[in-house]
This record gives sequence, C-alpha cells and structure tokens, in this order.
Amino acid sequence: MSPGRIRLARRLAAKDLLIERRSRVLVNQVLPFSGLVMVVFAFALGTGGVLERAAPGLVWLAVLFSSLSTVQRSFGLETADGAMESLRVAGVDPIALFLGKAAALAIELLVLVTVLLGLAVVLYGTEPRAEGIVLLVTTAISATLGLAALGTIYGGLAAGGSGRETLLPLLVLPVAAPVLIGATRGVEAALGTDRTAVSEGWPWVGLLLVFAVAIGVGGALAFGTLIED
Amino acid sequence: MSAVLAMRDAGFILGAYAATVVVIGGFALWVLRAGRRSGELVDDEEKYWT
Amino acid sequence: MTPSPQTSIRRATGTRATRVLGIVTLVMLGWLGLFGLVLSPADVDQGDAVRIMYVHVPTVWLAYLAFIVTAVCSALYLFGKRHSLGFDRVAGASAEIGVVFMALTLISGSLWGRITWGVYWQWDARLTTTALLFVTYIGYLAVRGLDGTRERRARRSAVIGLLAAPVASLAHHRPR
Repeated sequence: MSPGRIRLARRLAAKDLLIERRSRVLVNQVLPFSGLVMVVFAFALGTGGVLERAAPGLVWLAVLFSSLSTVQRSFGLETADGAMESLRVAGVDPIALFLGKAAALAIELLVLVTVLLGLAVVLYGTEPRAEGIVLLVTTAISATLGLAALGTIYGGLAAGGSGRETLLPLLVLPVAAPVLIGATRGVEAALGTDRTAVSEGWPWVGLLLVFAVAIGVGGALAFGTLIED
Repeated sequence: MSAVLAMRDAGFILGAYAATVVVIGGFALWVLRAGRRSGELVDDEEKYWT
Repeated sequence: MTPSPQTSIRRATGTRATRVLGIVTLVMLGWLGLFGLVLSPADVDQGDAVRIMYVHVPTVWLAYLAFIVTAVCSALYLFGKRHSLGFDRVAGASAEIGVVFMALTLISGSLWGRITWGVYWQWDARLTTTALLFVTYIGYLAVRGLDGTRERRARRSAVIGLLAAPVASLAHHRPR
C-alpha cells in the first residue's frame, strides 16, 4: 500500500464528505427515513416486551435499509455529471477509488448507527450497560466497515445504466445477511438482551472482522473491473 | 398403485416428486425452445457440432 | 457426423450426445419414481417421508456442483490467458441449472420438513445458508442480464460469481 494511494483515497473520501456537508442530502433525507423506519417497527410490533427484545435486530435492519439509500446517493454523485467517467479517464487508481468511497461511506454509516442506537434507547427502552460498552463500539465499527465495503462493491456495479438501481437491494441483502446476524448478536450481548453475557458477543465480532477484511480485499481487487462500464 | 396412495402423508411425498418432475421438465423444454430459436439465427453450414 | 436431411428443428443446438442424454434422463426419472415410490420399503425411523430424500439429496448435490462449476469457470475466464468467452457461457448456463435445482431442493426440503418437523421451514444455519445461496445466484443471473458488450458482461459476472461463493461459505461457518 503505497503512500500515494492512501493520500489519493483520503482525498476522494474528503471529497464525498465535503459534498455531503454542503448538500446535506443524507442528514435531511436518509437520517429522517431511518428514524421513521424505527418508529414504524414500533407500530408493527406494539409494546409489551417484544420491542425491547428485538431492538438490536431492528436497529441493524434500519441501518441495512438506510445503507441502501446511502450507497445509491454515494454513487449517484459519481454518475450524475459523468464524474466517475472523468475519474476513470484521468487514470485514478481503482483501488484508491474503492478505499476512498468505502471510507466516506463507513463514516456516514457510523453516524447513522450511532443515531439509531440512541433512538433505540429512547424509543425501545433499551438500556446500555457499562461492561458492554467496549463490545458495543467494536461491533458497531466492524459491522459498519463490512457494510461500507459491501455497499461500495455493489454500488459501483449498480451505478449508471438503465434498470440497475433496482438491482442493488437484490445483490446486497443476501451477502449482507452475515453482517446483520453478527451485528445483532454482538449488540444483544453488549446490551444483555435475553440475559446474554458480554463474552458471548466476541466471537461474532471476529466474524464481522473476517467479513470486513474479506470483502474489503476482494472489493479493492475487483472494483476496477466493476466500474469500467 | 393403491399402496402408493395409501402411504402416510402421500400428498406431500407425491407433491415433492411431481414438483421435481414438472420443474425439471419445464426447464428442459425452455432450454430446447431457446436452442431452437438461437439455432434459426445460424446458417446450417456453421453448425459445426451437428 | 454427416448433416442429415432433416427439418431445421433437428439442426438446432442439439447433438446426438445431448439427445441420448435426454432419453437416458427420461428413463432414469421413471426408474427413480418406480424405486423411490413403489419398490423401496419405508424407512425404520422416517417412515415414508424418506422417499422425499431420494429426490431432495440429488437435487441439492447437483445445485452445489453447478455453483462450483460457475465459480471455477468464472476464475478460468478471469485469470485465463485467452479470456475465452466459452468459460463465461458455461458459467452462466451452470448458474441457471444451479438456481433451478436449488429451487427444487427448497421445495422438496420444505415438504419433507412439514412431515418430519410439522413446519415447512426452520431457521437453522444450514437452511438459512441454502436460501441465501439461492438468492445470491438469482442476483448473479440478474447481473448477467445487464446491458453491455459480451466481454464486459463476462468480466462483470465473473467477478460477481467469484465474490458470491466465499461469502456464502462464510455464512456457513459462523459461531455456535
């Protein structure tokens, strides 16, 4: 990993984050949507313990659905004015492009996860406990990294061209299932849902990290092929 | 034949067999039709496999 | 083989080998029905439900074999020196077969589950992984349906075909 590549990736990530800071599309549209999803879950499941027990899974479901919009936004930026085409013609290293897009996506998703976990405390009555904080943070970060890498791979494929936007959920959701399962179990252990111990969560963090690394490496190598048309 | 129908849960078992035969048969017919359609697009002289 | 003066339908994509294979398959399907439903006795433990296993197990094996062929041919296309489109076609055709037989596996398996467990579906690791694999390859076929030149389609779907396999196996090896 050459320093030039890392510098380039940081520039690309900074570019995405700057666009978001100025346009506020995610803050004004995706964040309210994910909050709405959490409220709608509460309507569907009602009160009486179900919500509190299902809270970790519901948070990650909301993250998963919102991440689809976030990915579409991230690549909509690139295809809108032929920006991706320009980057490609300019000879931008696809590995740096992948790392940059994935890093920006990871930061955006991490904000989303934090807000939704906070909402779960308010809406679903989940209580974080002190001994589970480290596990909670590690789970959130490793799951977000996996989701960001995954979203970048399939977002690059699904961007541009007719009939491709609808392809994104079909491609992402089955592959994201291990993340959903691992992250839910991890958060359950951190919060102590169903009297689970904190130690039960760590193997799932391992799964999430293996997933993030595998998808990250595979995506970095495959990204050049996927975006070339 | 009556022994087959007298099996416990005969509906589920025969249903599984029927589904298998119907799906495989349908897939085979679909492949054959696709082959015939694409066969018409090629001149007979170029069909090196026949 | 010399071209026979047959109708144009006989000269489609079939060969003598595929016709013989087709007839053998039909005969064997009848054979399977005869032995699976009539001649074999009911199992000591499972009773008559075991008869579903005679179609369920071969379909799942065939589906896995088809997906392995897809992954291998995707790799051969991507990393081969000539980037032969033949491998791409085999990969695509094999994925279609895999999806069809995986669907059959899920149908016959859920009918078996209904007899044995009383429910059509259980959320254990093996069933979940199988269902995810099924959906993943439906996505692969959708990617093959995208526009673009043959070479682009081949490269794109080879990458997706290669990414799908390890992820599915990762879901299989999860804790507990």
